[in-house]
Amino acid sequence: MEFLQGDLIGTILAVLGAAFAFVLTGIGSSRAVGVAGQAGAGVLTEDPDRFVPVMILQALPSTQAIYGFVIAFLIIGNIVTGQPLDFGSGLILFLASLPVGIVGYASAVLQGRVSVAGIHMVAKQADSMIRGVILALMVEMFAILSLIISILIIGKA
Amino acid sequence: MIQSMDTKYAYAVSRIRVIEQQMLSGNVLQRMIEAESAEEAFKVLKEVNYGFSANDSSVFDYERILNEEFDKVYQLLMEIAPNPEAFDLFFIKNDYHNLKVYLKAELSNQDVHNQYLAKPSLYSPAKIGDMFRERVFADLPKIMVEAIGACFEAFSKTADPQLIDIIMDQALYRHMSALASKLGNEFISQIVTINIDLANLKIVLRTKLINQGWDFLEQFLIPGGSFGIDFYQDLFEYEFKDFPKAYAETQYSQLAIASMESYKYTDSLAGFEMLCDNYLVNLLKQTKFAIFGIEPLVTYLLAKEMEIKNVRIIMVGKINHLAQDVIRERLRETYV
Repeated sequence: MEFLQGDLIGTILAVLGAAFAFVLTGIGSSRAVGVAGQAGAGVLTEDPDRFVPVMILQALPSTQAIYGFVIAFLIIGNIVTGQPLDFGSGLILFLASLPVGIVGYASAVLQGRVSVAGIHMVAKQADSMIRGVILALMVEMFAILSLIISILIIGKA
Repeated sequence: MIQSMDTKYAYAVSRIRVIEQQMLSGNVLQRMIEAESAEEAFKVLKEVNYGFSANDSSVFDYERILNEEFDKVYQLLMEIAPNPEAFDLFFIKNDYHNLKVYLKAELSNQDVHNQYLAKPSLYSPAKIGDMFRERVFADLPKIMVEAIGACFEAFSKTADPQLIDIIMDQALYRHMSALASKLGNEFISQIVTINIDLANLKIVLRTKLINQGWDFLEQFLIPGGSFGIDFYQDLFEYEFKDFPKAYAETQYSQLAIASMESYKYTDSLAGFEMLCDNYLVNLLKQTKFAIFGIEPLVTYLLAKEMEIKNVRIIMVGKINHLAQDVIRERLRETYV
């Protein structure tokens, strides 16, 4: 456990933050897109013509993983090889991963449920995709806000 | 509204949501009722692809087409449900029906005709036939085996075939309750409980109509519903017009009021039975917007059963040249 006192502690915290941001949002989006995909397959088994609206609705909850990826990328960008981060900067970068990681995970899973409901709407009426997309995008807003907060925190590192 | 988080049903529920669209709407049923003849009404069934062989059948084969349609529902559920055995409790009534047929045939030394057997069942009728020949029932669930034993014993004492119905019906509901509690799904348990409560109410009403006493009634009552034996003992003392009072504090208060109203005007229990069916359909409607869980599948199965019942009412009415209004009065509420 020597490294905890050493020069590397700041860098390790930052790397942990990057991993945290992507792992959580990645799991959230995978779960959501996965379940929406199952629901989509159910509709497409009966009616293959509805592929486009079903695919769009399925893809919506994948954005959280992209936000997590962006934050992870920005955090890693702050780490310069050979120049260890100080403890304060490392901690700030770690904390920056929390908003997008936690809010991203929750909003992905919940947006997935709205996507499934939207796919059921498409199952009933082929032209209801836009309404389903808008309902799902309401959940998206919170993921976007968490992304912005995470970016602002990184700026303070 | 009923909501479940059980995402393993995501695929099945979506598929059901598409298939549900093809259920017969009130308009289609109206068209059948307004058809000029039974043949014309049957044509509507051909149009909507009812059953497997409607196109090369005549109007008098409607019963076979309806059975085929139900078989379709069964096959679909077995295909898409992640755990098909969850639906056992909805098909096991056919097994009990088949057991009754075999028991009665056995005890009156007659052969079993295929037309009396119900499908789809968990145990194939042929297998049950073999069991009766060899008198070995070890492969059946315990509740069934016990019921069969009880039937043989009761029959050897009194030779009254009605006892077979009583014993088997009670075993059926016990079996359904046992399967439901094993599943641990609230919606399914609710359906079983409602079925038992309404069956018991039906038994009380019928017993009063044929002027039999409490001793007679007691042996028919099915345990496991929302009310104990004391409730029915009190209920039995009431006049029909006071029945709603007994149910006032329960979920059946509206149903009891409407049923007794209908009895007052028609002097028959047909209205009551229709209201019971409508009560169930209204419960099913609560799952209309569920996105996950087994509930929408159960709803489809029971709604389809109700739809087939409606089509049967129409076809029987058309074949017997009943007036359109008479048929319409008997129709159950539709799910779609």
